[in-house]
Amino acid sequence: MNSLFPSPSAGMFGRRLKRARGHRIPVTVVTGFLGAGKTTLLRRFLATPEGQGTAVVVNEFGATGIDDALVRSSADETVLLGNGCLCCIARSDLQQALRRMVIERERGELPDFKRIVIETSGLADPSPILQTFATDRALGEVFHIEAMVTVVDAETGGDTLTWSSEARRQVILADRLVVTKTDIAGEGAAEALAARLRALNPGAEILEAVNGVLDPSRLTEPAADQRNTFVAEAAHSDGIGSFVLTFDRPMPWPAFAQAMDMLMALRGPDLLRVKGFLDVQGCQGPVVVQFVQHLAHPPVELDVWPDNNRQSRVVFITRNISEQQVRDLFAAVRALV
Amino acid sequence: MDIKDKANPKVISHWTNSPPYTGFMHTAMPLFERNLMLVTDESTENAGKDWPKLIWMLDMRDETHPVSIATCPLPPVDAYKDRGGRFGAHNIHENVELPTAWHSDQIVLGTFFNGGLRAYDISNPYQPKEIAAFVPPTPKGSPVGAIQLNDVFVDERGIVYTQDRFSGGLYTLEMDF
Repeated sequence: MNSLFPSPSAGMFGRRLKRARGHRIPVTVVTGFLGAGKTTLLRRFLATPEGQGTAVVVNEFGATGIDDALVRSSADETVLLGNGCLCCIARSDLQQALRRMVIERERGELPDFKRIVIETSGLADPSPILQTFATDRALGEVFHIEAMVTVVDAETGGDTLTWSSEARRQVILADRLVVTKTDIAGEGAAEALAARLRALNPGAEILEAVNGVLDPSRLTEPAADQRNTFVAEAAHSDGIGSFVLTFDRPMPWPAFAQAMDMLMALRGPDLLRVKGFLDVQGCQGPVVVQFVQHLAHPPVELDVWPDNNRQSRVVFITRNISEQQVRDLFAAVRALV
Repeated sequence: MDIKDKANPKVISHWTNSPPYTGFMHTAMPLFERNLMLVTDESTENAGKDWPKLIWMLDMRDETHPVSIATCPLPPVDAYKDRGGRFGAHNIHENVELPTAWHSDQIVLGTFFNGGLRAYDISNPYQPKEIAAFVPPTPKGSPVGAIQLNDVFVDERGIVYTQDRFSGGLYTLEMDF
């Protein structure tokens, strides 16, 4: 393509973008266990100026549509998914709901929404939602997950984390953690919970919301792509850890792509999320890369580096894969390319 | 046209879409470095009677043989034709050779009357993609009962100016893609 119709303003990944999501509609995924306070948080957000123009997709578990009824009055549009967990039964419902919203907006049947919030069922493992946007090309063209926010209640959240692997997964995969009900939790409960959350996911920003009051930007701003290096050593971390690979020299794209292909082929199910900025040889701006298990999002090149640091940094959230193993793989592949 | 001899310009190639289209070709904008040219039609009839009025992408690698390779996709005609006034292509931002104008060979912005203002990613000229649309509500005093965005200009900062054909005034927008 570039050889037929070359352009000095396009790179090897096409048009350079101002930001990773380009023109796509931002999606915030709000997860959290049953009763953690997701709906309260969302209702407050929808009442703020920043919340205007937000369409909400609610995933219900159970026959009653209580959550849906709560948000319908404030949101431009709410789509109630059928019974069941967003992670399994309703994934195709989610895809259909999002497609329908785009079509109806184009036809003028829906007001023009500028953001989508997906409120998951309390029992949902959020990974399949991330996968949905990587596997469904049509949706991936239109939507971009901007942030994953997990709500944890200070009163019972600690216990829930002990017995529920889904709850732990929600915390580990989050970009931001919101602790609720700190006003009614017993003394020291909030601090104890925060310590547990930090142990499971030290990279995530931990925020507090009483009665759902939270700076709206915490639901709208893209998650930072840089986390601190950590390996979750908390009890019940299910072998899940996170680390940041950095590279000081520009990376030839084939080396990175081959190493990731190999990782995905051999350990796909254990690559929970990989995300970051890469300094690719021959590119002017950072290349945003994103992987979920065995799936890769198309890479995009940004106009400029967001800071003066051109160092590649890629966050890995993995299960039973160590930083050293991944480092060794990259070194080996790079030596061959 | 070959204009080497300005007193005797010579036609070197000719491309038309009409018939079967219905004429009113409006703008030709070459993207010299990319060997491409954008050509717009103008919608001149109300209620979608002259649909489709399009932005065409021409392969100009051989300027004596322009080849149409794509058009910028319009939104569904059924959703727009009965809104009032015209629906279809008209002006595009023309990369005017001024320091005060924005220049891009990756994005084209065009006005489509009641279809509003639309931006297309043309990085792959075989498959232009709509990446943004702005369709304001019917302006007060509109004789046709719908927005009729007519012209567009983008300044060097990327601020977009577009205006209604009749009564809507000037709309100022920021591109964030």
